Amino acid sequence: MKKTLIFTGLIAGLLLSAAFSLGSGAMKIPLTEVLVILGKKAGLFSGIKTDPVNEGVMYMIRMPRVVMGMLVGAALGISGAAIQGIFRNPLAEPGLIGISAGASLMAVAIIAVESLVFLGLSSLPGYYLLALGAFTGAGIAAIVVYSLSKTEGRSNVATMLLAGIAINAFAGALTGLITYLADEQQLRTITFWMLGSLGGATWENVLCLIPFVLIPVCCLPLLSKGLNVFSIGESQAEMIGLNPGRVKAYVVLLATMAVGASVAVSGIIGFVGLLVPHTIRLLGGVDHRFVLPASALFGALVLSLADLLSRTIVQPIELPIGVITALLGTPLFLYILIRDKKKLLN
Amino acid sequence: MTSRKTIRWRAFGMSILLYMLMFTAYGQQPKRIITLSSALTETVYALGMGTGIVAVDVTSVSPEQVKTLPKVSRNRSVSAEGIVSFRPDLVLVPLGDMSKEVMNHLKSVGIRVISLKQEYSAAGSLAFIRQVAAALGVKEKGELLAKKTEADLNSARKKISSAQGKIPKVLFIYARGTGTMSVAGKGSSLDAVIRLAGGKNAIQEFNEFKPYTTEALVKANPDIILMFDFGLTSLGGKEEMLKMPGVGLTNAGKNKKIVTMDGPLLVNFSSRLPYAIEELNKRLK
Repeated sequence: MKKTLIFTGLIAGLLLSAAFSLGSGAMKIPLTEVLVILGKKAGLFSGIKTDPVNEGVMYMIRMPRVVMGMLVGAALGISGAAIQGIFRNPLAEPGLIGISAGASLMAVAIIAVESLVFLGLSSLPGYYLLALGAFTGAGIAAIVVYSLSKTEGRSNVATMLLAGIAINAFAGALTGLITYLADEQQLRTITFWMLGSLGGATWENVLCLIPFVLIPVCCLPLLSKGLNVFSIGESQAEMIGLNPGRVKAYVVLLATMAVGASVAVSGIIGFVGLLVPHTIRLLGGVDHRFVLPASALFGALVLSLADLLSRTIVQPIELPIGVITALLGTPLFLYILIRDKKKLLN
Repeated sequence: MTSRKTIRWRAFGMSILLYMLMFTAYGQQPKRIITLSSALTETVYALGMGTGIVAVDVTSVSPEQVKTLPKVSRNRSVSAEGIVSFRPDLVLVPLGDMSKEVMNHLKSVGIRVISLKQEYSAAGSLAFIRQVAAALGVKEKGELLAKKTEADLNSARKKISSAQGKIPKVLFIYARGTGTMSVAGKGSSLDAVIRLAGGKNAIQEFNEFKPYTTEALVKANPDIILMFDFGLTSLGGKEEMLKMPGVGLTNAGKNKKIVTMDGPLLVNFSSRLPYAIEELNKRLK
């Protein structure tokens, strides 16, 4: 009952935020015109004249951006929840444990060699290449952190976080090296990855992102029973007849797929994978059958609101979206640390 | 076999096409312009089209009128919607400064975006003036301004070379506080302007800008240290600069030869280049 209520609230919030996001921005478009433009696309109001520039801004700039915000938010939310399930630890966040850094390192490396092999990265195949590269980087980072964090079959929080620090530092150093060698134009593209932004959203890269996000969002909830058993302990899971290795492999594959592609199109947007699943667990409990889909919805909501803020606070200039998510996320992170201090130390 | 009707339609189509071509090629001068570099802004003003500018980037601070205009960028990150909200019909941007995604966004809503390459040389500035003028649809004005700049440039260079004594070694340091300092190498805009003003870049080992190190400074041993006005201010002024490690070991430090110039003027490489090199030459003496 309570969960139905939460789901309804999330979906309603998401729709409202989408409508509001489409209507606001540096370009002032009155709400009635937003509705008319949307209606026109559906074949209605063909008689009413609208400003072609407003129409263009809606279709070509804002709509792909709102859709991308929701896709990236859903991807970060659900993969954050799933990774926390696998690590059995609320602090396992893709950005924190180096998965995002691995993805961005690969993306930056691909940009750096772009000029050598004449790839057109601003085309659909180019976006796919970038997304696949980031996916590979994310996967490698996830596997390294996971195998490092395990001692005698149990995953250890301290080693996980330290391994995350190590991977972040290593990826950061290599990225720094590439930046130092890059020419000015590459540098500009690379800087974008560091800050994180949805400003580059076009229908093309949204199209590229869709499979990378929809597959994990649809498939991860199928593994929620496995994750639930997993949360008791790996050996217990084995006793029930579950193959923990397989569950782990699937979850890591799906989660890194979502994170990697998100990083490829929008850069590193931190703390969403931490903020979202945790709030959801506070609201409606720890059952993964609930946490996973709710995290996807809430992640979409949080990111679309954060993007709305980022592009309206100081218009016509935009604030990096990572600034906003970090401002929201860090207090929560500290709160978890303080609350669970004793538990985390052991 | 083509019927009369199709021929007529084709003729009609052709004339429409021609009409459109004429419209875009020679067509109207833009009424609402956004310029995304200080050199572009200054050149549009020099061409007498400055009143059409509706917004600029954050580096555009001259001429005086620009200061009241809204700024649409910070550190080169330009948002498409921020630009569209001014409803410009022409956006001028330095080549490579705008991401392809943003450029496609602007084009998709029918805004003309022109990327201009600026070469750091005397001939490059004349070409730049002509390019900007062509983009604005005022080629004649551009030709006049280019000719005038060329004449000014020739007389400035003659003046500089006739009074030329020993060629001083000049090191340009870019600074935004002690934490961010870099020096200009070969191929940079500063390297070119120093040479045109009768000096020699003290750095010959690398291209473009590289982070500043004390050892590199001592090794380069410049006769003169050149900085932007705001660069020296950010380090706390000339006295503080002279106290920085290594500076005292160079000729520039010993003779207290630290000179500054207005940043946008120094790297204008357009119609203000003649004035820039004369001003710099005075400071190099």
